Amino acid sequence: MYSDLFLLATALSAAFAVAALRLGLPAALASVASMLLFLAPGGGSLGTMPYVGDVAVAVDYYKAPFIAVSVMLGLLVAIYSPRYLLHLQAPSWYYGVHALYVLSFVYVILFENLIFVFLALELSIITSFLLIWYFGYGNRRFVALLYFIWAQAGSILFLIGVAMSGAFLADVFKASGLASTLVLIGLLVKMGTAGVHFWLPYAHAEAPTPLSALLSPVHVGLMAYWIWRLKTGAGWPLDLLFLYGLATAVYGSLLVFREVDFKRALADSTIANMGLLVAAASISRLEVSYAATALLFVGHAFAKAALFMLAGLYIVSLHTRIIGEARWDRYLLAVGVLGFVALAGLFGITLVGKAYVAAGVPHLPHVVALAVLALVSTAVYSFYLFNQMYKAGEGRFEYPAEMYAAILAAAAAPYVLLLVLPLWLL
Amino acid sequence: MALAFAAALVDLLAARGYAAVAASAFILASLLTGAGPATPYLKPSEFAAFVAGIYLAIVLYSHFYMEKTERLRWFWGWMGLFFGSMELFLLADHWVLLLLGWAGLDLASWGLILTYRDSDEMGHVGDGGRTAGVTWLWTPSSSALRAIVTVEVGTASLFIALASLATQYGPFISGWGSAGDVVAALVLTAAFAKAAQLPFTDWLMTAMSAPTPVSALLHSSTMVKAGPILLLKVGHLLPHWAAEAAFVVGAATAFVGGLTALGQREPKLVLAASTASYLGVITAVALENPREATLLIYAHGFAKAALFMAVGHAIHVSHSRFPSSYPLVAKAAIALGMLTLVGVLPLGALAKNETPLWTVAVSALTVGYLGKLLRLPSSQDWGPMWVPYLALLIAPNFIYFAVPSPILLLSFLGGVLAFTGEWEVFKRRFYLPVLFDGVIPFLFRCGWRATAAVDKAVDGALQSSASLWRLAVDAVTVLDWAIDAALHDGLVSGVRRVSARVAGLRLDYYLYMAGIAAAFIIAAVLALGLWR
Repeated sequence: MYSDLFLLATALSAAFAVAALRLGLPAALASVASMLLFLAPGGGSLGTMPYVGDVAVAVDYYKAPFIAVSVMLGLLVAIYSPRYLLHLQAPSWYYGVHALYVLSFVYVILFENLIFVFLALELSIITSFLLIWYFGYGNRRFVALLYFIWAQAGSILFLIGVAMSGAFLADVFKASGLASTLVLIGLLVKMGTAGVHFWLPYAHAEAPTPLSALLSPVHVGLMAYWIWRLKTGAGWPLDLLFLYGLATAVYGSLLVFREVDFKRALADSTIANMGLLVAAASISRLEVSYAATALLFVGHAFAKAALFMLAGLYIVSLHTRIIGEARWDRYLLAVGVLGFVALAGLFGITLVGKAYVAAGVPHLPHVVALAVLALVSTAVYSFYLFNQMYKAGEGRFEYPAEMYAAILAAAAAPYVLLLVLPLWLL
Repeated sequence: MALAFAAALVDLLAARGYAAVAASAFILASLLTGAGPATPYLKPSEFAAFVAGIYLAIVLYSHFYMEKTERLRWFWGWMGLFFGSMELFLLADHWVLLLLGWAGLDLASWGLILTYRDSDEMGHVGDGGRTAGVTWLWTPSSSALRAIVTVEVGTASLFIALASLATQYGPFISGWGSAGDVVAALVLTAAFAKAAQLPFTDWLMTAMSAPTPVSALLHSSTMVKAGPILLLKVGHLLPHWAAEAAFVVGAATAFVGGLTALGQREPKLVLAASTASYLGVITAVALENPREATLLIYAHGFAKAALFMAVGHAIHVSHSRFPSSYPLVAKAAIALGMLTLVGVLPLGALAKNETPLWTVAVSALTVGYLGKLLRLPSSQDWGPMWVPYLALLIAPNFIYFAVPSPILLLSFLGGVLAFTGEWEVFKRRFYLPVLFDGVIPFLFRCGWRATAAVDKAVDGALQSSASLWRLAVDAVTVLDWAIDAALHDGLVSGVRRVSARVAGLRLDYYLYMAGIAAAFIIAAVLALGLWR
């Protein structure tokens, strides 16, 4: 029974997460590793609640990439974190919150009942809020509150929309009018697309970098799954949503050029990539849309996590956040190339994702022009950022091997996955 | 395919090009002996062996040319990816595989342009002069960025074009039907950007920041050749106007490129402009006469690879981008290359005998700018690096046989151009760099600054609205206090005061008086009732 497996995995990961509050990294690793149990395909009901109905959970072909990437990056970031937390002088309870944060990602996708999806979103907000509040940079409490308010607004709009729809199970979700609009706005606020993105550069840039490496690549991107999943029942104007996604991609790409701060540039680039994900999720043909959404999510997640971790490595080792001061040796240059090229979508699994987004472009000249601009701009800013880093020049300095190993693994993933992609598609 | 990409990885790790030699030799031998793909995702291509052969010659040459160069891992890794991507592009029958090959070419050329460090003069392009607000000097990093930004316009266009056709007809290119106008425009844009056709020409000039073997590969058989080969692959699907558009753009580029070559002093720039020019010819005929275009691709490929390697020989010997003399063997190769390009040698004659008459004028320009190189003094250097490039010129001219059409001999009239100076407008590449380094960056800067300003203004407004929130909170606090005071203080004390006042009153006296008053009223009412 999948529900038993779910409860076992929950018990294990939660128990280890609680233990990690005191024991730190080993327990956090055990907690996140336990979450791999959730990946066993299946579905079941945890029970029935008054008004909320069936509390269903499921893992299928469509959900697996989102959960697997969340857990894999949760592990990589945990491995990356010790030296960074030393730099932050963070206590061991950080790891416990980290594990709970990763667990919230799994729940966001795993639950079929949308009220419980909301609860999972709440868990993700609270855990990430705590980490920004205590370990963020700059005016961290202001940023934490800003993030909390926007994230809550998004979640609550989603909840109200779902509640108004009266259909809480994703499979039978049906909404129209205000309910459907609220669900969409809630998801878009949480993704940080153009117009509702103002919280994102602050939160993602000022968060402690191990958190940024999950917040930006995974947390916001998971909403694309729900846009893809709910679009059939929600009746959203998909053509307009596709255009809005492309426009967000262009807008976010242009914002990147204003930055000299490595992390802020990556945060702005997340806005652009969320735009591509919205466009992908709103393609009307479900299978094409799914391929575009999943591939872009996976490719972006690994590339962005690698680059955030690279930015963090510079913070720890060179004490700089300025991308133009990010000196490199051949190893750092290699992960820079791998990360930025994958982010650009010029090779690796992200390229295939972009190709599927292109499959959603209608034969209208103005849409085609916007799509070309979106695809070009999302590639160009990556090469621009790489160029900034490259021009900083070579330099020799010490950096922790385990941090580098985690970055390399994340940066190489979009290319390794390209090799195994045919197996997955078959 | 796996072998080509695996060789790139091996060479990246080993910092040697041995795997590249082995892989290209094996692939060439396999293709020549009739081996072909055993999967529907790939289809045989007549260009596959041609690319493998030229690549083999260039990697052999590179072992000499790059022997004292740093960053060999970088160089060999990207070279392998370049070759593998071109073969993938050629063989792909599945649209996603074709895109992977196409984008791999962009990526590898970007990486290879970055081979030299920015501080290394050998990677610079231009004389450092300043014209029309643009400094005529490009470092490898700026050249690489120019290249990738320009070709990415074509790649994004191709993404949409192929995705659209795949959606309509299925994933296999061989099964596709006719394309609409929008898709045709996208395919043409992709081909033009890749083949450095107007207005996308200038990235190819600054791509000369790459080491010469890269230029030899990029200009002869990979990257830029993917443009016309794309037209050959999907040209039959395009509407008729596409051929006319390709002709106009191709012919214009042919002349602009030829004239630009006449004005250049750096020999690699001469050859780069020449490539744009010849790709213009190929593009112009690709949709109307695919067979002709195919032969031109072969002839130009062999000749241009050899020309670059010959020029590279002089650069290698002189350690200068502006060699003042050329090894005799290199000059012989330049002469043979020129004769192939203008169609006098058998391979060239086969390719050019059927070309339209206007291409003779392009050939005349070729004689002019290559004649300038041939006029430079000779030197003696018989290092083994000449073997690959001379082999590339001699071998195909023995394989093919054709007698040149007499009209092609008119090309030699262009020899007088070899004695002309460097006209400023040609030297400055028709001022196209002003577009790419001045106008477009300026417009782009305006775009992102305006966007950033709008974003900042809205962000600022939202943040200042925090004070409105604070005001609202204060107002609620005051109201809450007032109600609280009214309910818990005012009301309670009021009741208490009233109660105390009531308690202090002499109620029995008031009740007595009220009773008398009531009795009086009742008595009065009764009296009035009785009286009526």
